[in-house]
Amino acid sequence: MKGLIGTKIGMTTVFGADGTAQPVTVVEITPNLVFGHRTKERDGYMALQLASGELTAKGEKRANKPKLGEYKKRGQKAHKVVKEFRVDAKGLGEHAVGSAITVAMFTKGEPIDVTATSRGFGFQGVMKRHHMKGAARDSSTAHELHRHPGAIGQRKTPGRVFRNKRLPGHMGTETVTIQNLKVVDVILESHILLVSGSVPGHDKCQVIVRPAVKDHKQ
Amino acid sequence: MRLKAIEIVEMLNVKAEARATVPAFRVGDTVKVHSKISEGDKERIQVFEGIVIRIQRKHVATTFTCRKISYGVGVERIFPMYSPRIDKIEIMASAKVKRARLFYLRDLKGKAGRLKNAAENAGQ
Repeated sequence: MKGLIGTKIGMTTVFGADGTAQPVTVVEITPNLVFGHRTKERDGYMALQLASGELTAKGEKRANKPKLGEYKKRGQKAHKVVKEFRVDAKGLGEHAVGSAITVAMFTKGEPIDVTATSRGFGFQGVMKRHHMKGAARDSSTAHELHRHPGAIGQRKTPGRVFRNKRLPGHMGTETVTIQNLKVVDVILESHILLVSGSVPGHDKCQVIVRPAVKDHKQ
Repeated sequence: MRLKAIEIVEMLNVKAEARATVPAFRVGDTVKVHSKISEGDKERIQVFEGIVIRIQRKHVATTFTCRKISYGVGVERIFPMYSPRIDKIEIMASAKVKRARLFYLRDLKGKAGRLKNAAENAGQ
């Protein structure tokens, strides 16, 4: 499924023609460079390798040499990231190596899936991490147990804590995909995609936008 | 920090002309808000006159709360300042207030619940 690499900019509100206020996330998708092809013959599968985030002179100085060499070999400008998107033969044919795919790939109203790394929360307790209820706030019988998980097992049978028991631990910084978000608007000249609602990750984080896999067009 | 891309989106959605039509009213001012109401396929203008008791500034998503006493009952309505559903806003009176949020008006009744007009105040 073809997709594009972009940057989450932040959120704002847009008013519809009928006056409805719609919360949107602004995703900036600068034209993605077709860095290379993965072909059935050579690699055993077909995919487009897309590069995003053209490097400045400073960035180029900081990038590692072997990576820069890859771009040099292809006669392309160096970019920050390369991602692969599985496509069929037709997809490969449509996008020659060295060409660019712009945000025009998406249309207004189209359902999309957005993937990103969620915000990191560090080590968190069960109330925040698993939405457990904790114990009573105002009861003396709940001495110092207010935000605790409570019992985590039974007695001699089974005599152990079940695997995947929800406990405190590290929260966030995982790959999250939100499915079936709507494209509110596409602003071609500024390479901006407006997505309805929120998308995972902090501001300025890298996001991957794909056409929805479970397209519920009604 | 506001990023440029967000500014672009907001400027495209709420145009400068639309922003210019909103008068610079403040908390404590009495305003008339002319909002568009659609009934079926017909549209009409409804006017809500009240004291601005709160302005929540959030760029294009800025809202303000208006309070009035209607048939002895306090009524508050929150309007998005830049909504296209708002036809116009008129400033009817201004008052000198010492708070950014005039929630204390909710507890006051009758004469105590009124604000002193800024123009009248100036003469004292």
